[in-house]
Amino acid sequence: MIKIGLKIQEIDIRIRDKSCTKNPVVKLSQLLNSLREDMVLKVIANERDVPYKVLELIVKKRGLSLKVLDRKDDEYIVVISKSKTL
Amino acid sequence: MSHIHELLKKHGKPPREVYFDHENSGWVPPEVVEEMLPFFNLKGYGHPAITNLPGWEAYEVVEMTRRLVMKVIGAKQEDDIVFTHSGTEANNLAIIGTALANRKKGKKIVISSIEHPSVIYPAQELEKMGFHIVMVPVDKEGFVDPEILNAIVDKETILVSIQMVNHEIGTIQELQELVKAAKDANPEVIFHTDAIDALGRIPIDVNKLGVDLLSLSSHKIHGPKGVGVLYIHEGIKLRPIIHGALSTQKLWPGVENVPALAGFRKAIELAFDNFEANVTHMRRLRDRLLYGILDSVEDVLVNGPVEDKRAPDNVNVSFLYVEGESLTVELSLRGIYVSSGSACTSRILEPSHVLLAIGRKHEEAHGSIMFKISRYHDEEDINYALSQIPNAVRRLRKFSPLVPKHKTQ
Amino acid sequence: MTIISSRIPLIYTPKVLELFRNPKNLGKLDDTSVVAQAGSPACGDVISIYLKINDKEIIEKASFESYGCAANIAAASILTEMIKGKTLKEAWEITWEDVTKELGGLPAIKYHCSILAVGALKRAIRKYYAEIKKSLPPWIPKELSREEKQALEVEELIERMYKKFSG
Repeated sequence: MIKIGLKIQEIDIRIRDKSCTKNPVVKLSQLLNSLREDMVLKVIANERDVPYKVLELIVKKRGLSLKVLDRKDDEYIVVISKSKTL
Repeated sequence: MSHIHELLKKHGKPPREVYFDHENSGWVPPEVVEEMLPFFNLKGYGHPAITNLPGWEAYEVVEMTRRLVMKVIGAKQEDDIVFTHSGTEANNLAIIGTALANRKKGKKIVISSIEHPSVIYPAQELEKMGFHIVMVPVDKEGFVDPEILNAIVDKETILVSIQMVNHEIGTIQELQELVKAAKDANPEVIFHTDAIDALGRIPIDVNKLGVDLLSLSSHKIHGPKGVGVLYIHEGIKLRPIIHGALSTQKLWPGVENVPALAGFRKAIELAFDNFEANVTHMRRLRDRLLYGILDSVEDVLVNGPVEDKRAPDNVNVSFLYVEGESLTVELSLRGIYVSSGSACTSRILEPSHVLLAIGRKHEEAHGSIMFKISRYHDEEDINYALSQIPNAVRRLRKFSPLVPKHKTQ
Repeated sequence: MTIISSRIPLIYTPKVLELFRNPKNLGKLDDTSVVAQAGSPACGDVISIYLKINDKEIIEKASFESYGCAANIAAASILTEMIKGKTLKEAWEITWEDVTKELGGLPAIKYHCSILAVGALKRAIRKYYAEIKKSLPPWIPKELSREEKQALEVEELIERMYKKFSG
């Protein structure tokens, strides 16, 4: 289970904002840039915009931990954090 | 009516001028201008598709330029070169023309997050037409990771567009690796690269790279405005996006800009005459300018990579606590002509998307200034710039409420 | 996905260029009665207005600091000139259109610079009454003026954009 005391920031990147720097994949990148030790990022995403395997790869390359909360064909919810145990 | 005449009078001509804004447009050397002049009213002033002497003379210009372009990018006889009237048009043709011709094969298009607006805007248009655009992110220096690209490209993807050299921060992509990564995920995917800022700075060989489409632009290589190029690998299908009577080429009607094509050809000859020496020269001046700025001004960030991973002509830095547009005006009054990635120069509040994509905060992006070194610059130009930049920044920092207290005298 | 940066022509009047070259009333004030700021660094525009007000509620001295484009610097500077020697009530009446007119006009996309300057001034006046006089005079509406509202909107927009990104 997720440790008590950690701040959870939830972000739904299924929603497309007006500017191209908020394109889902780019938005995700920026959020991961600002991930802190005491933070856990809960991401809700479209398979179409950010394929799960792409997210998995990006998270792995940054040395972060990933845990799947829910996964459907077209959508998924994951939790990402800096700590090794989630 | 604007006050442009009075503004020009007020600005005046500074005693010493150095033009660094080759990103947005450039200086055309006299030899190129001379090459163009006869084609206005002495010879070849006809239409290249008409069967009379001035027409055939015009056709000769088009063909000779076409041959030279093919030679310098390593294209084969069976490949095609389309002349448009700007790099923006070439990019539009590449993106929209390819998408429309291949929509039965899929609807997904992948572009990097730091592409030039002339790639991003057509992609946005395609989204309205039902295509699905996915942007692949870049790292802090602007590089696309081949593994991530490979994960994003799939059987649904019909087109990938990633520029060879970034126009703002000079990032030189490992394009061969990226093409391999994309085609590994989908051998049928069409790979386009905007090489507009690569021509004359790094070698281009379309076969080695493995790209299917490639864009170029005349005014970025000291040629005249008015010519863009789209290279199309044999067998790649595109739909025309502008329509009219066909001239010498299927994909871009509208009479060819013959004088500009003559100038473009000359500009290419000049750039490739001493390619290695030119590049070494630019790189040396680039580093003198960059390190000179870092040595003499505090609180400066470098945007993009350094040394060999960066285009030899590109300097892009953010001066903290000052805003880019005011700095371009300040430098202009001192005879130094540059441009900025700040929001004040754009239609909305967002500064350069390239700087934001590499992770710069808004206020860092607002203070950005871009310099492009040309083979026509010399040491004196760099010295002059270095003599003015620190004072210009200092003056604007005096105005600014953002300078931290411990830094003000 | 829509708008990203692009270039638009910005034809400034000679007055704007002159003020940019030789700004009047630049810098902090030594004996400030009140100072207020409008705008945000994240959106590329910040104006600080410093006022020295005497007991007759007249603006004896005014100065500015500015982070932003040439229009921003010119607007803030000319505004400080316009309010020197005026009563706070007279200064409150100045609109962003007045400032733009004093500059000889601005490209439409730069109107926000005049708006921000006036917004900062009004904030300063409001602050003066709230903090020093401890009561609002009848001629200052409780509701925010146009310029104050605009400044606030821009600042909040940036806040929201930032919140979406960082932790």
